Amino acid sequence: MQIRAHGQISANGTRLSNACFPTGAVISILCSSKRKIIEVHGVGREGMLGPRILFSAKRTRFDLVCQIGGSMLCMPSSTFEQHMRTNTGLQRAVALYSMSAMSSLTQSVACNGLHSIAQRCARGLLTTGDRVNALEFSLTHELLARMLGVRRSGVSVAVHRLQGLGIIRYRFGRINVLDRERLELESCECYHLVRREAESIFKARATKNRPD
Amino acid sequence: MPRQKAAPSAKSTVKAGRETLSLNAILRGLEGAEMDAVAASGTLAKLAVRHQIYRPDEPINVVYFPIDCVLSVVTRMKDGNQIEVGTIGREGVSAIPLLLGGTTTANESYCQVPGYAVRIDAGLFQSLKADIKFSRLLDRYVQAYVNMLGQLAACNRLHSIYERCARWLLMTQDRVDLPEIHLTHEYLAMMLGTQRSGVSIAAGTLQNAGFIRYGQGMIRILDRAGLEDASCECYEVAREQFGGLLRPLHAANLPSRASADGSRRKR
Repeated sequence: MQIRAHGQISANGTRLSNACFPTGAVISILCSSKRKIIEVHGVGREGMLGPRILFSAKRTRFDLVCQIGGSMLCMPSSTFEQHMRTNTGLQRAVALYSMSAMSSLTQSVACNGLHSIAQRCARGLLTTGDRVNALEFSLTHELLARMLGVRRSGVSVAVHRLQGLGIIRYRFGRINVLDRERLELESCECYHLVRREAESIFKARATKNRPD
Repeated sequence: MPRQKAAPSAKSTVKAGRETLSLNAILRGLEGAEMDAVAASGTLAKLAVRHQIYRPDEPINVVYFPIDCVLSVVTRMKDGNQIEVGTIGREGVSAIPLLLGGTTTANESYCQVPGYAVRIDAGLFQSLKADIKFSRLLDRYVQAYVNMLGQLAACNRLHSIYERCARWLLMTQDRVDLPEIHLTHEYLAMMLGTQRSGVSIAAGTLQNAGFIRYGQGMIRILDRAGLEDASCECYEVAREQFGGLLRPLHAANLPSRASADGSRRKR
């Protein structure tokens, strides 16, 4: 078990030598361009990071950074590859996650091109809440701005608006979701679409398998 | 039989010769019995603009390996706005959802830049996947495609219409391998998820700089180096991911590469 400090760089995106399975932590996969940064994908307890899981280890310019500190299980890639060769349950789980991650990533490509900061902010808060399985979590304006690829001022506007509507409360770097239903209404359809896709992916396969 | 309606030219039964098959990076990796199977039952289809590759939430029955056409994967939102979320040329294959083990997808795909593709049944494609070498080739392609997806997610938020236009034109020209691209401002705007006015301004700026010339539904690239300067670094990323897979096209092996509107092209 390893605890990753909040905001620390946990891995260089171009050479991930471990397979990592967050159990409480949330990791951001970030793309930097000139002086701007944006999260292109997030991974929490629903998924994993590793060579050739979603993004390949080589030839990407992405950085992996811990967004929310917490625990993460890690094992050397070679061990993971060994298990993948023999453990069909693991193969299946990884395949299902890859499918749902791909769908989420594809949706983000569209969302980032079409939707407003306010909508994407709501979507980001909902997704993060799901990953930590809590209504309250640590997330500063700065980290939220990085997640959305916007300036901090843009995020402050969005957060203050949600706060004004009584949907969230933000204090001392912590977000508290007061009204999840209304937060879902503020989000673009991408949040629900990705959740539905993930549910149907996992359900479709579950009915075919014997319980482990 | 494929469920989607195909333009008459796409239903051809013209076989693709092995030289033509090898113009596509994925097919180039086929050997022996697998190559024979594709050569035997694959057909060379001429895809028109907007020829449907697959529809949202419908089973994918037909698989295309582009030769000189470019396919778009598009997400359509509830309000009707759409945006391109992926492009596929001769470096890849149309059936990305099948590659990950799915059968359908919430997105749709259609031909954006007209041209030729090798067409096979999804059933044959699934049986090809059972071959380990072919499967590894597909894995490498999926990796490149996903890496590009991540870059696009950033690009769509961080970069200007001007840069994204330049990027799109460069990526497309690499795949078509001709100086002219059949594309209207309207379609380009749809692909970039912007207003047509925004694209017209960007295209105008690119034209004034001498990088492109557009008119009559076509965009001609005059200065690649200039266009590369204008583009965001996402074009470099595309080249890193796919560049090695894109070998030059030799028109001699294809039926005359007349464009959809019948005009002749100079190489």
